[in-house]
Amino acid sequence: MAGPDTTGVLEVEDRSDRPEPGAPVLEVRDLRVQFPTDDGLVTAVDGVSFDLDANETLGIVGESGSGKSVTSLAILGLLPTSARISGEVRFRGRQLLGLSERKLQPIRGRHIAMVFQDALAALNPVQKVGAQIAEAISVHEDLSKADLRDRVVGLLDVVGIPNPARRAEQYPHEYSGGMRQRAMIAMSIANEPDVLIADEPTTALDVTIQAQVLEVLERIQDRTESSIILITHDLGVVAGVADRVLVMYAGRQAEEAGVESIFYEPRHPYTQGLLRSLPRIDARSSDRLERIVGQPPSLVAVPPGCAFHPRCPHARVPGRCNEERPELRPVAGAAHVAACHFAEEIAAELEGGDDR
Amino acid sequence: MTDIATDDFLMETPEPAKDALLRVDDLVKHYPIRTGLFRRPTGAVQAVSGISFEVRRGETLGLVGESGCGKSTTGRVVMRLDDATGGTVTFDGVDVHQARAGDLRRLRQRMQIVFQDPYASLNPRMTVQGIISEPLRIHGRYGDGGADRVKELMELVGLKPEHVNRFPHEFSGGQRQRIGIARAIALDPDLLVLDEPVSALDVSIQAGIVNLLEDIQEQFDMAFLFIAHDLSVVRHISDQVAVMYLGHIVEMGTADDLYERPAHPYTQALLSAVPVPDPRKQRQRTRIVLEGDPPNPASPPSGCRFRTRCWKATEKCANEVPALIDRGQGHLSACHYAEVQSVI
Repeated sequence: MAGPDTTGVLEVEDRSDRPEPGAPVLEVRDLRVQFPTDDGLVTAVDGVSFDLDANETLGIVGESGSGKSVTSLAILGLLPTSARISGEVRFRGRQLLGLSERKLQPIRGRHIAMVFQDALAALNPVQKVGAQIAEAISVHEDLSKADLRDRVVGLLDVVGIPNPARRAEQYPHEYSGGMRQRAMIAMSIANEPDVLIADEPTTALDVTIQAQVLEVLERIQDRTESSIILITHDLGVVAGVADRVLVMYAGRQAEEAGVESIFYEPRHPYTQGLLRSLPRIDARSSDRLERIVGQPPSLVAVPPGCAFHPRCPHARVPGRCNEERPELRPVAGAAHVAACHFAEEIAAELEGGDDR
Repeated sequence: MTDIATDDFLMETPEPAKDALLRVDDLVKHYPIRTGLFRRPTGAVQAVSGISFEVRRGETLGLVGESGCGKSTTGRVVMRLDDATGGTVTFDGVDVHQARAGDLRRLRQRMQIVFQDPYASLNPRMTVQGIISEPLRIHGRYGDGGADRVKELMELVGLKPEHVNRFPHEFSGGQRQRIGIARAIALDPDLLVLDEPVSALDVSIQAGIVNLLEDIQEQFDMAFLFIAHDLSVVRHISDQVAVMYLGHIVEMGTADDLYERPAHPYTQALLSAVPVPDPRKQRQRTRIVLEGDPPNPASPPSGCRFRTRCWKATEKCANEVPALIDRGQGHLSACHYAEVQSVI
């Protein structure tokens, strides 16, 4: 089971036999991604580990440069060859890192699929939308022309595109932004993947269109029982759809917990700061926003110790915070982990300050 | 004056009405569509179709709406960066679009604009000193103590004055936006038009810029026309809010009233679609999911422009343009069937 596979154990057809129920669909262990640059080796993802359970939605939250998108590209083997990748990415127990393109091909798109932020860039401008979706299907499945056509129209219908038969014959530029995003979702779910990775799928969209797209994602998950990794900077979106949330900062995991724990009992000062800095649509405007001082670090010069310490209101500096990198460890039950030396103390402080 | 009890009941004493600094009356902006060999105009994109509002001294009007609703065009026409097709823009009693050279120069010192993209709106080959002092030089105000003024401005916006000789690329996105704000307030204007000033910034950086803008407003009694698609930021910063859809204002009122008691179906759909960072609350909310996309602004629907996506639409909506008036909700709404429905 461990170690790289020798032969194609996981062939295209054996997808239905799900190993021990309850086992995670995807296991990521100590994932590290580095890029050589003019300024030296940049560590974009620095030791990220998580599990994704069946039919679960995991939200990965972070700002630009936090490593959230690189993580998803590493899972799919879509990083440039210059990237140095280590760690494990196991899909149903099988290590994906280091697999040849030929062995990855039957998994990518079929078992693990991706929805990108920029649908216009991800779709081929000179091919009809229907044909592109058909291609995504026929790579993995041999269907007759008529069956293929029915599947495509059915998929466009599922994602809420009006007149799907007519729309299938159109080019991407004839679609609006929201429709393109939905068409791309149709393409990524064409093979009913076990894992759908959605990287900022609604960021470029207006809120009313975002609502449509999120609804489509939810509907699809109900139907196919797939697992979703939703990568976003929008905490509101995460609050609405994620079961569990992973917060990233400077390529590292700051905190991970169930969605309610993250929002109601955040234990990492970065998560706490992020939540407090948000203007809220349901709050009267008299309160001042609490900003996080400074800015996210450049990955060329990540601060020593805890990467967040220069911006942390609780940092003990000089001391452990700038000397020792905090391990990700349970801070409130086994399922709630955070990488902060003083998580418990800070929580007690905050609580003491709250009930007067 | 006598109803003190009622005022207390409302929790907030209404402030004495400040006078309008900026008045926009029936503003129209069409962009011609030219086709064919001779580039003849064959139609027009009706970006803004007769909107009226005012911004009072020292207050913020938030202008919200989705892409293509005409909010940024409104900002540009208010600043006279674009000509108006119809209607008037009056700044402190002066008609902005009729003003001639001298008057316009004086006006331009008193109204400034901050753009969304701090990367694109700063000249990469100019130092911060050059960027911030430019408006002072143009208006002949650099001579007496200009260099000190630049340092003062940098401090004011939270930048280190010793970085005055650096170039824009040496700053982060949030800092660049601070440079843009320093430039905009260099001449101590009375009105700032802010076009999506925080939407390109990371969440942890946004709050700092929003706070800075609030400080500046209070300190200098500046009025803001705050244009944004982020409804949460707009609620936080605005005194008044106007919601735009396809070139029309569909609803307008005080921020709290409009967000808590929206009466126009579009406002309701818009607000209901904004996710709240609170899992239990968010999962209990009912999202009003609109069908389809906004129509083409080159051929907007007759009557109410929202009717093609509205669940309340009737024949009347196709025939009669609903006026933006108080329909008994305490603020203005442009819907024949306006009715308060709380959606947050």
